[in-house]
Amino acid sequence: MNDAAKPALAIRTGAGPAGPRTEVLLGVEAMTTCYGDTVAVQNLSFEVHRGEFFTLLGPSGCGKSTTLMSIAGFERPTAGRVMLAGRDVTTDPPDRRGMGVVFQSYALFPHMSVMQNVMYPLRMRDVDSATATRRARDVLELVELDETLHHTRPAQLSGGQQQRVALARAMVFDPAVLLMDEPLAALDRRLRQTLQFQLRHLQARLETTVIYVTHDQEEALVLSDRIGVMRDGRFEQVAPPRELYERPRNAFVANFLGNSNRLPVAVEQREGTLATVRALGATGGGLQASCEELPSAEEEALLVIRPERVKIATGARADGGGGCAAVVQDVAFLGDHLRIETRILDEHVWTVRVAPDHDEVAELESGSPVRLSWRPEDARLLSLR
Amino acid sequence: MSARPLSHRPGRGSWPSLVRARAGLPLSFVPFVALLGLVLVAPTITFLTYAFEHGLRDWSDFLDSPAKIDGVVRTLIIAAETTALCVVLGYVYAGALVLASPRWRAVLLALVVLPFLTSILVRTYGWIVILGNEGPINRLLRLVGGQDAGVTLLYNRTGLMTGMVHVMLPFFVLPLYAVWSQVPPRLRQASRSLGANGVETFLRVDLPLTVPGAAAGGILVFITSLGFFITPALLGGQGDVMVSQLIDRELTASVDLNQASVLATVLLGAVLAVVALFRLFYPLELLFVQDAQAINHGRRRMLGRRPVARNRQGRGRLALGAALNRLPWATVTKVGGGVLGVFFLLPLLVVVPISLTGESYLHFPPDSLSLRWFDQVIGDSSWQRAAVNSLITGTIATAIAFAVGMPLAFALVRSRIGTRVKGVVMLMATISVTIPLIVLALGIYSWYLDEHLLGNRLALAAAQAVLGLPFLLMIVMAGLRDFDLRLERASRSLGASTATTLRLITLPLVQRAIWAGLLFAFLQSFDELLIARAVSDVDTQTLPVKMWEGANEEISPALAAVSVLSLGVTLLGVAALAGVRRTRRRLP
Repeated sequence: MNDAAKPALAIRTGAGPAGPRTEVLLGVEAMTTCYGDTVAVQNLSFEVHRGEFFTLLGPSGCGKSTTLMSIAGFERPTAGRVMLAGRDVTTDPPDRRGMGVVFQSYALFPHMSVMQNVMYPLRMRDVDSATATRRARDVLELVELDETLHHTRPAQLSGGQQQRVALARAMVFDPAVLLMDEPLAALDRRLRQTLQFQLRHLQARLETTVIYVTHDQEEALVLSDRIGVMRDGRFEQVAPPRELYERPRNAFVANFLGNSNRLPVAVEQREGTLATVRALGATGGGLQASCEELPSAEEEALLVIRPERVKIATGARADGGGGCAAVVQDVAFLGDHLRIETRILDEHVWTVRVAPDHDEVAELESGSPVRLSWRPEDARLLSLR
Repeated sequence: MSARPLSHRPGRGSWPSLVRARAGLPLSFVPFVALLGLVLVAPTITFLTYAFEHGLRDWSDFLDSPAKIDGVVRTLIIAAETTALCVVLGYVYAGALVLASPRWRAVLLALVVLPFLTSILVRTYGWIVILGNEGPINRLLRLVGGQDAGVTLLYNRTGLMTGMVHVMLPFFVLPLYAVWSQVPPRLRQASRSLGANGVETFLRVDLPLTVPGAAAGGILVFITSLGFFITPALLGGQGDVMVSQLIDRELTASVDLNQASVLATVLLGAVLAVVALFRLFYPLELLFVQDAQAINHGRRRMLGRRPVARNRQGRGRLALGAALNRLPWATVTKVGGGVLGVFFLLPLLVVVPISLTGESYLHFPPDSLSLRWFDQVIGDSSWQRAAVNSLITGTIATAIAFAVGMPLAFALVRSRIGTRVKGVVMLMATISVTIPLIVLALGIYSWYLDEHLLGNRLALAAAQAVLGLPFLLMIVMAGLRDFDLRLERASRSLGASTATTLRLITLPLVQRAIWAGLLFAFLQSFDELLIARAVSDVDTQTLPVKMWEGANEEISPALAAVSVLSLGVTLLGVAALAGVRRTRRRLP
């Protein structure tokens, strides 16, 4: 057996710098994966740096899981390469790649105890039993699994506990990369949030390189150093969470991460990064928005703005110039904020988010006329294509 | 909303009246107990009485006969060999089923189920053709290697094993696959990602998780093999005589009911000993309850809740795994599965060309074609009568199984009787599967002899109904378990009576399972030889009996024609069932 292919075992101190943050650990080069006639992943390329938490985010069927399974070696890409630490591993079987995988339903072996599950990869690497036991205990302590549970079967554990065991099992052999396929999807919301933070702290402390797959945008935002938003087997945008949220490159990304209000507009005039636009089909003009992301040749675009960036003016001030006239349709109280649904230009429903103690909105009810405005740099013009 | 109280509590009142929790329960057991008493318990007592009629004298005769002792030992050896072969080949086939694409899986499943549904006589006849001196194998060998190149495949252990494995392999594959298909593929992937290669993954994940299925299948194969009669009689040689044949000889040649009963007691004792031994690890009634719960229960019993075992042989096994992993196992398994699939189909296929031969001997492929054998069989009044007898007896047996099985199935699935009572009832209802047919046949023969029921068609059908009952029960119970009780409650809340609900809601929705159960029950009777031979006379003789006599007199292509016609009946039944399925699917 090729022992060299299995990564050597080293107890991580958690302190040692594993090299500069810019070192590329895993590279996917022009990868295409097909199932029969269906192209699941199309010419995808990206790099993940050592110690980075990289998330593949997208709706179901976007190819994110296929990408992960191709990296793990369970799918053979139709074209392209998977590089690990500079070595081409595209044709290596999964057991020779040394990547830890946490599966969606955990895939714990039902006939083995927690300890046996966690020691499994160590047994496969011929680690002597004393070392293996010690190592398994350490990792289980790391993921905060109660010691009384070490000898129980997975079926007797709760979902959260199973998740911890799955994580421990995937980390115990110190894999080069940790691949996680929607590991929290089966848990309830509150537990998911707790585990998200624990996972993030653990990853930061151990400087583990993680590739994470999820369809939950909030989870992606909480956990990731960088997020690749996927659709139809391609990336729509790859960027850090804040950049994705604040400067989405297109309407799909804007809509997939958080909520956004949209309005099709015609560009009337550009001035540097700002443009004056007019709603399509409307006579009035003078709306302002940032055109950073809009190719200069395009004359029509989609104006996109987050609900919390829209300002709302009521009563007398609703008649003033600037912004856009609207009619309130519904006001909902959601504890930490109010959500006001309005209709602008008789056609488009826009949502506005304001603090619940916002004075001006206290009197609002269905049918009230309001005026919506925004800072030009908060509204972004995106390509319609 | 008005505060009018509900007229009945939803939990209880919504059950059809015939299976109402308390009153209906004993009532639904009455036909079952009556049937079991008449054709299982009384016959067993009768032959046991014969075995001890002269105290222990017949037993000392038995012990003094080396031929009989040898026969018992040989039977155990043959059953063990069959089981071993079935375990190895069964893992290959089930593995191929697991690895196959959905389309291939459907094909492979059909191939394993089809022989399951066809008469052992037909299949044995097919093997006689294939393995015979003038069969395709020997003719091919002579073609390649000259006149002396033939091999003897028939009337020896090779022929016997071929036939036995062909009959028993489905009994091993189906329970094994039922368990294996429940093992999530993710577990294999997890094992691979954690550093185990393909062989290690099989040894440490698939194998331990499928042990309950393999054990269930293995025990079924072993105990069933102990009672084999048709296959050793037609495919085996002088050195392959099994206990069933010895019992048959005592009955037909020596007409010694006492010696036959002694041998039957030994055979039954061996079977019960194996079953009892096995029940320590795995409840036998779970063989048929192949849902996840049962499997988990069985697994827990099989594997216990051992504490973490320290693995000391890790190194050796790892090296072995690595060495074995050089073979392309996935390919080997798939090819093996394909070969076995052909093996399943071969004896069924071969009877078709033989039935169309123009010659009067078995020659494959036939030298000339004609329909003369069909003409002869269809025109022969004795074959006609046998066919009609089979259809009538089969129909009565199916009706009896239905009348006994349906209330029982409802009671077992729906009523709140304790699991222990349910377990006992299930064991009793399915015990006929474990009792060797020759033992059953001897018991029924001796009991009917005393009661002057020999030649009685109804009595024969009742005996065969016991064989169909387990299949009907299992299939209908599975269908009832899948049935959503809320639909009945909805119907009741909308104003339908219990009887109307049963007629309009319950029966239409479980009818697919009922039809499948009826088909299985019918085929059990239609293909049954031993009881029919023991208790029928010239007027009530069924098709298998007539075929058996034909096969013993002279192996002529006429039997192939009968086999093809008999296969036709089976396929017709399966096709009709598929038709029921399709109509069901078209409903919204």
